[in-house]
Amino acid sequence: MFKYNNQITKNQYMFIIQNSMIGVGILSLASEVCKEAQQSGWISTFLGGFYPIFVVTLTTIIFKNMNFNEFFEINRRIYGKFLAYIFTIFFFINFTFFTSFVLSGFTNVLTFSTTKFLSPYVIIVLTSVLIYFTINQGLTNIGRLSELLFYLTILLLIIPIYFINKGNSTNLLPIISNTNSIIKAIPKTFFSYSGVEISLFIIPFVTDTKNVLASGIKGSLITIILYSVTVILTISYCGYVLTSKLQYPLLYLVSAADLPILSNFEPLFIFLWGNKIFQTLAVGCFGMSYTLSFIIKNSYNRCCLFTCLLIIFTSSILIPEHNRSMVIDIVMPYLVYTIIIYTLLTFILSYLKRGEIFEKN
Amino acid sequence: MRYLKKISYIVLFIFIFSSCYNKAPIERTSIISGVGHDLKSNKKLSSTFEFTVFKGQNIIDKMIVTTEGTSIFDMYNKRLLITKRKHLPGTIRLLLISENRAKYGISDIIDAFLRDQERNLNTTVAVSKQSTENILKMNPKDSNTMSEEIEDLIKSSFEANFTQNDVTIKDLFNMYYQEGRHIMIPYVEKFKDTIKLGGIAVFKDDKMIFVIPEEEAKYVNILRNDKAQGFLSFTSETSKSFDIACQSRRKIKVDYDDENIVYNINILIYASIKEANIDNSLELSKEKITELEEKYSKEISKKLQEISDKYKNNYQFDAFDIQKYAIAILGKDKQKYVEDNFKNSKINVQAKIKILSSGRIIR
Repeated sequence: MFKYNNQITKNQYMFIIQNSMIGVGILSLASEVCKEAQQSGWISTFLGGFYPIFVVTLTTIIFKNMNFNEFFEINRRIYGKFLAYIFTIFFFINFTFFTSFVLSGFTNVLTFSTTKFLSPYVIIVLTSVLIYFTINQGLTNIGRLSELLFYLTILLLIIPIYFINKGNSTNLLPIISNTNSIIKAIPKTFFSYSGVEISLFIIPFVTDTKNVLASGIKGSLITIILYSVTVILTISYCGYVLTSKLQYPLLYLVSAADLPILSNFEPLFIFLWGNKIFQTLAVGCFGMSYTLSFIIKNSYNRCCLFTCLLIIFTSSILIPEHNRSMVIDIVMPYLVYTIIIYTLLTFILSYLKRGEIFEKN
Repeated sequence: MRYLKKISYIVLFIFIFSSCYNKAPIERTSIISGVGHDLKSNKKLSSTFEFTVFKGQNIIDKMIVTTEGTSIFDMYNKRLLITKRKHLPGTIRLLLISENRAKYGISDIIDAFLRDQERNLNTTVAVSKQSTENILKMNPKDSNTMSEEIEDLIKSSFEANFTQNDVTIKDLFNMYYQEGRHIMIPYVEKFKDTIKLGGIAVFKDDKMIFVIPEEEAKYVNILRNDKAQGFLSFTSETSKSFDIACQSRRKIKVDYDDENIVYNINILIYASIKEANIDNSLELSKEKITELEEKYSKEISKKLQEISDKYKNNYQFDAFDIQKYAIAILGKDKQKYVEDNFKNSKINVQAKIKILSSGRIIR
């Protein structure tokens, strides 16, 4: 029914990496980090950025060592058939969780703020239909979408900058009061940075792999800076006590603007951010379908349908926000630590095996 | 063509499933312009709603409804038994809290306004001397509703008396939750058949403790607010006067030696002379302006020092929003220490007037 094409350019790779991280995290991140690190939460956010940079860097080196073969091929050569299968299942589960968290979070934010009249299930189904059509065309289509939506990121940053001189520096001082609490808050940022694992799957499709590492790091840095700036602005305006009390501090911040014509920035912000979410979800679903097609040995297009049906089901379970945050708290650390260990292990093994000549298939 | 068909199916699908249902039509909604919270005897809460009523073309009337109850939404329930239209909480322009209610505690109001996503964060907040029903019942003079009139009164006051401009509910949340700060909001009272601004209501935590009277409010405002506007007038015994329009800048420096905290408040006032009826042969040369600057800087510094000492000694309370600077230096965990030691701390006020313009007349 659909033809799909997976080739992407280097810039598209950067945009996908950059966009795949921006999910519901951008709204709720400040609250999570301020609970632990108080006014120094933005430092934790900045330091937590080591996770995407770590993953992107190691991934690129792994693939360079293995001559940019596809993910399954590399796994098969390093770990053997059985372990490769297990790891693919793990990544499928990881993306299933990631996508359901984002979709249910998106639904919760919409029903919480602008579209109170809609049933959350309607939003889930409609979003899934749109995602199905997006990912069916393959990664090339997602790359183009990311390129287009990247410029919305700039607008997302411009809106909070309205508050740059409205805050009070006393809210950010003393800059560091407790080093332990800052380190303790770093794992809280991992949910916001998760999604970057997609680089494991899309690197082989980049047409020009010369400076792909720089592109990946650039993409990660844009998101890290975006997150840090929004957290700084939120804390300097609200103070850390209020920030840690709010469910979506950034949403509170943008709706506090007093403007002459618009009542506030909230609907505009939700509109821009919602577009980003479609893209984040498309990347997550691509990861799901791509791994699923390997697991059940079926065509990619059919797997797209299965994954969309699956996320409708899984995100419906996570609908009230407290349900979702409970599951995130339980699941997220395991996923992130497994990915870190997997990447590190693969990096070492691929380094050892790099001498062997692999042909690109 | 094939794509067009597909896209049109998706769009149609979206439109069918996301229509705006379960929303009251505009004919059945009413615009709430203000809400007042009050306390009756025997600790029963009472709240007053003021809303607009559209009667035919270009005739806009207003109505108020007062209900009593044990909690905010208990009163809401009872209000729906009286009112005939659906009320949207997002349009509230003014939150008026009576003095009795403010002294009783407003933590429930803060929670309700912060929790509900539909509520407007730019609602203006004020404390009233009389009961809110009494005030909202009055007939507005130059607006449709009393709430709008009070809001306009507060917003237009920014241009004089160095009045604070952090009067909305989001500023109130900030004052309530940020360390070392206290809620200070405008205090309005009945004046003949209208209302006037009568000072500043000062809260400790969520309870009002005292009112800064109108005469002192100006000086407290200079000490408290950064980038505030106002007029200063200096009169002599010979009924001569010297008036300047000012814009104030405030810088706080906190020194800490093991025992006491010393707050240095430096106030820089940019002024332009509006009236200088002091000397008939006055020529505003550079020397003369410097002389005037020094003379009046000393005078205003002395007055501000008096006020700061008075509030520190009489109330042992920081009415100038300076504790946050001490906490920013000592650490967020020292909040209690800073608050407890405020009475032992020292406040030095240094004001400097800088005249930028002398107006049309130079001699």
